[in-house]
Amino acid sequence: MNKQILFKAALVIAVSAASVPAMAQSGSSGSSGSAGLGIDYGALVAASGGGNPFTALPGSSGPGMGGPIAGLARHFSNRGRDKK
Amino acid sequence: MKAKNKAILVSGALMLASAPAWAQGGVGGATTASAAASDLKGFAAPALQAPVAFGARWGSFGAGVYGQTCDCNKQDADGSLGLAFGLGDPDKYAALEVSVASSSLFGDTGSGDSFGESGSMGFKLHTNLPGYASFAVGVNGTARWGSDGFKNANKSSVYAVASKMFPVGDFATILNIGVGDELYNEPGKNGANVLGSAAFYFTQQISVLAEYTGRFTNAAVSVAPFRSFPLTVTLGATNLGERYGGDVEFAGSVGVGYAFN
Repeated sequence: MNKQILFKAALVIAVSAASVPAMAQSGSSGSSGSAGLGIDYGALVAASGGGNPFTALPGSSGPGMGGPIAGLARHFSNRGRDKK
Repeated sequence: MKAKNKAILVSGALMLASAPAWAQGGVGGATTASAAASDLKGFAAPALQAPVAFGARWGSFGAGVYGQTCDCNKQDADGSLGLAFGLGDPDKYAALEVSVASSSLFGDTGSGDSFGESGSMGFKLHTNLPGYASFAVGVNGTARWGSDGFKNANKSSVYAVASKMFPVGDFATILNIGVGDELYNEPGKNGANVLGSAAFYFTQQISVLAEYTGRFTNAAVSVAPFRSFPLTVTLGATNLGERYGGDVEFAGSVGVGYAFN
């Protein structure tokens, strides 16, 4: 577990550091039709974890840390059990 | 009148979509005590346009459609259709979510593309952290295809974002904050801007959310009508600040998922 957390921490730091210059060099969007409104990329969110949280649930490999959606599932599952 | 019609449309759609969610959601204690977390498949969305720090993993697939009114073409509306799948395990190390979207579903007089003629891909590397948190870095709108107008106007947008679930008494919230460039920044500005979203969950199946994409402020209501089927319907309004000379627009997305493990 410690090894995994260290790996994740290293990943977060490395990616954050690497993404700063990439963002700083980026250009600007033009405006053509629906470009810039977020419509053209909206389905990328709708199909992924943002608009489709079920895809982020842990699989059969075990509960693991689970992330925010697994947290939701456990929270509301426990709440229902408590109310019963 | 246009705004009034949009409001009526949103209200009616949400009432229809939310009825089964309330019936099954368990606000009044209807949740069965034996329901394991793994049986829960219907989840309301935490965001409408803003990227979040979690996504598909190995064995899970998603499909989604997004639509929005706009003053951008003859149809006064446009949309996109997407598919996503995951590789890897974010609980062990990291997972890569790969998504592809077909854009300009309703036509686009600006770029000249119509249904199926333009689109792009998205990649998100995400990992889960202790405390129901996650972190991701990704790019949307890369590997674009379509007319030069579409490709030049829709630049790839890089983002890094962190998300975390917080219990709020009987309820819960998912907060999401990050930075991104291009679509997630002011038009014409270089560098990155801050983005974020906050979703309040009444049950796992019903959420209200507000978000700032770095460009627009949006608000929406999301409903997963079925407890044991992964269908998510999100309806809301974009550009609440009426920025860049635009109006408040009606937007909606529908996502459905599948997992084989």
